[in-house]
This record gives sequence, C-alpha cells and structure tokens, in this order.
Amino acid sequence: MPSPLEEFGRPAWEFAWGYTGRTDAGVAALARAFRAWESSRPPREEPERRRAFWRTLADACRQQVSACPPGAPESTDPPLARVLCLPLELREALLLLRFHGASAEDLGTILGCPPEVALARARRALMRIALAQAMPPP
Amino acid sequence: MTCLEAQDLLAGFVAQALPEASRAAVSAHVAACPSCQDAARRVRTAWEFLGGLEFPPPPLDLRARLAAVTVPALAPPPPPPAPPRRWRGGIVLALLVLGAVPAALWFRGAFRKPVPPPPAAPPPAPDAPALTPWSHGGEGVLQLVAVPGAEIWAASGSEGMLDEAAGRLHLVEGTVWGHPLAGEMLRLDVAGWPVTVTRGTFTAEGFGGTASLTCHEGFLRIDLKPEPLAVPEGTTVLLMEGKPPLGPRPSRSLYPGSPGRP
Repeated sequence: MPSPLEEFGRPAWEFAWGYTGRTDAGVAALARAFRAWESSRPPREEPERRRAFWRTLADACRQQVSACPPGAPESTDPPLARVLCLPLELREALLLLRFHGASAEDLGTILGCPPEVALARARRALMRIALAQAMPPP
Repeated sequence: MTCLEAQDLLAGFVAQALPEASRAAVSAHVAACPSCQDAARRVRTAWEFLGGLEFPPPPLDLRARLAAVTVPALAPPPPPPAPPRRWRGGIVLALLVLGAVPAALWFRGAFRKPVPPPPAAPPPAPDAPALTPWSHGGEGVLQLVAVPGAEIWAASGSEGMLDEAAGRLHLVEGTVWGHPLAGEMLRLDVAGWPVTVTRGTFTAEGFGGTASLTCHEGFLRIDLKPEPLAVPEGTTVLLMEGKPPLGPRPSRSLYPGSPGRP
C-alpha cells in the first residue's frame, strides 16, 4: 500500500498549505494527517477512500491550527491573500470546492455537515472575496 | 425555492457541483429573480478571480520530513529501548547465574558428547522495504527522485526487480506524480538509473518496456508498464518530447473521472 504522500500527492499539500498559510504549519498538518491515516483502517473502495482521506486531512489541519496557530501567512499574492484572510470554516469549504473539485455530497462528507451547510459556507467565502474586491485597496 | 435557499446553493451552482435536480431549481430561480441574479454575478466574479491562484510549491525535502515523523515504511527503525536502570543489576546477576549452570554441568561431564549447534534463526523479515536495494539486486522499491531544483516531489512506490546477472530491470506498474514547469527539463533518477523526461503527453517505447507520460489536470503522471528492460547502468534515456497542453490550466479534481470545474 503506498504511503499517503504517494497516493494523494500535491493536492494534499496544497490543501494543507491553503489551510494554514505557512510551509512549516502545512508540513506539520500533513504529518498529523498521515499519522492518523496510517493508524486507521481506511476504506479501500473509491470514492469513499478519498473522502475519508480528505476528511482526515481537514480534521488534522483544524487540530494543527487550534493547537499551534500559525503566524502571518507567507504569501502576499492577491488571490491567495484573500483566501488566507477568510475564517477557517469558510476557507476549508472554499478550498475543497474551488481547488479540488469536490461535489456537494463530497463537501458534506468531508466537512462533517449537510451539503447545504457546506455550500453555504463556500458561498459566504466567495461573497467576502467579492466584497473585498469591490473595496478600494488601502 | 426561496431566495434564501437558492443563495445558499449558489457556490455549488457556480462550481457545477450540484446534483441535476438542485441545479435546475437554482437555475430557474436565478433566471426569474433579479436579486439572486446579482448575488450569482458576485459569486461568479469571485470564483473567476480565484482562477489564477497558485499555491507555493512544497519544500523539496517534504518527503524526508514526513518520512521522519509519519511513514514507518520510509523511516529507519527506532533503536530498541534500553532496559530500566533498576533492572540492570538484576539482569547482570541472572546472566552470572545462567553462566554458572553450564560450567557446573561441564565439570560433571554432561557436555562431553558433542551437541549439534541449534539452527540459526532466520533473519527477521524487514517490515519495510528498503529504499536502495538495487545495488545488489533482488526485490525492492523503485524510487524516482528529482534532482534538487526540479519540482517533481512525489513518486509512488512502484515495485521492481533487478536481475543483475541478466542485466535486466523489471518494472512493475507504478505511477509517479510531478508538477514541472512548462518546458522544463527534469532529471529523474530511477534507482540510480538516470532518466530524462520532458513535459508532454505521449507514450514512449524507449527501452524494451513502455513508459506512458501524461499531463492530467496540471500534473505530470508517469506510468510504467511491467515489461523487462535491458538498460546498461548509467544510460540516460530521453523519452519522446511532447507538446505542453494547450489552453488554461484546468482546476484539479479530487476524484478521478469527475468532470473538471470551469
């Protein structure tokens, strides 16, 4: 069985980074997720397997941020900075929907809430970004 | 459907992530409601604004850093724990007693008859495949390692077998993921055997086997087919150069086979 890094690769890194906003915190979150994944008995069939992994990763990112809040984000790239300013619950929904192509059902499973709630979070995230775009730069 | 219900689903509507029935209901409501049309326009604008977002690349030593803390198959085995200090004296005493018993039996002549040595215990089976077993042949894990500076950072652990006597390298199907820059030449090291690949979508039959390289959703994927190879050590194999994919880089899909998002 390949390691989670080999199986899920760069998307897992990007989610961890997008969640934490820093390289060191992203690596720590990935390590936390991989430890949890390997100590569990994940499903073997797709798409349940991937959903289970992303749920594990989202949980690990949450735990990492709550246990050790990362410092200021490393990136000042405008779109990325807008994402990193979002509250975590909105950010995770947006990351999964926008950058990893999750369906509504996937979102609900991964985030542990009804799909409508997850989509509403993503919509609020997008509305905040739209609002920030409409405002003049400081 | 009310405005509140429709607007809660707008993100899924823009992302084309809704089931068909919900998508049709939201579409019908938005077409008839100026307020929701405005909200949908804002959501779509933000959605497109995020299209050019690029995440920072992972650190080049990500694999090593994770292996050190997470993946037992990749990390060296931990040293055996030292016995507690308070037991050490007892252990020494027990060894002395155990040594005294055979000595006493020897004096009584019990050991005059030669005793065949006990069969040697088989070496403990390694619970993790070694990463560099190729220099002496045998089964092992095939690693594709990018030279520092390249962006390929993850490779699947493909199984392979090197038959040194026959000079053949047998590869079992495996997958390598990478994310090179367009047009960038990457140098990979296949278990000590350098291979050069360029970004593109192609299938090359370069060395007795088949290596299929495809660009999928912004990722380079290398598939190795289980064909015997006959490559002298140190050979640099240039696989067929391909064309970079046209058009904007599509968003990545979490689930293979699902349609990409706009």
